[in-house]
Amino acid sequence: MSVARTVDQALLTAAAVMILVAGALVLVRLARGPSMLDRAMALDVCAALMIAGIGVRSAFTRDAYYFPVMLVVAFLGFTGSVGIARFIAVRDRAPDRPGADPRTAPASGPGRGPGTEPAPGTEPGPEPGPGSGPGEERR
Amino acid sequence: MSGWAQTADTAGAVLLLLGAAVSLLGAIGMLRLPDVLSRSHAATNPQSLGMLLVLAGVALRLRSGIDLGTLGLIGFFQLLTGPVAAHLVARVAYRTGYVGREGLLFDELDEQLSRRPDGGAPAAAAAEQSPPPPDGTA
Repeated sequence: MSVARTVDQALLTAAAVMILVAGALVLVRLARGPSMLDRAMALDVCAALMIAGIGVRSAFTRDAYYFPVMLVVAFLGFTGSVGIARFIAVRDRAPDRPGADPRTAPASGPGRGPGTEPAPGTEPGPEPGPGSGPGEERR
Repeated sequence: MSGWAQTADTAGAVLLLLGAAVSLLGAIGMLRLPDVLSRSHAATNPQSLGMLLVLAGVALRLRSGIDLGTLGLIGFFQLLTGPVAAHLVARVAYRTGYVGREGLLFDELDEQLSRRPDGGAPAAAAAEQSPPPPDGTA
């Protein structure tokens, strides 16, 4: 019986180490992430890893003392990501990479030829102005 | 009876180790994949599968009634909220142009949405109200 218990403890220790390493990698992504959306996803994964770590701890000590903490984190962990995606990340656009988007550049030119008259309010400018940010916060 | 308890303990520990391995793989994928959408694909692994494996492992090691109920609630809320956040992040990533288009074979979203990074924000916003879409003349 003692051998099996030792095996259990070894497995749980390995699980805790893996979760810690995963948390470190996610923190690297959180610090490095080029856009706010990467950081939002990293925060989500951080919440999931917190739940997993608390789960490993309570499996190690066989108590249910921190289960409400897991419940609250599972229930509220997504609000930060949703808030970032909804209100912050719509303001920073991807850097304009020429060639990364081959469809839009030739398609928008001959699509609206000189013969077709676009509606007065709907003509898009050739370059995205800074005023295009608040227009999409409503959506 | 003790044999069954020991078996459940070891099975729970193995499930916990599997969940931690899935979480670690998801974190490695988040670090190495090049794009917001592919990183989101890697990031939902520890949120759904790894979380369920860890909760099943904890349930196999604790084995009492009210703890099983709480673990079920944790899994339920995690499965309820994780896809919402992933969906919103992917939606905003598409609309702000963080999608790596050289890896896409098809883009089945709306044509107006596909042309959004060129600066068609007012056009696509107005297309939801006005019947003639601005790109219909193309």
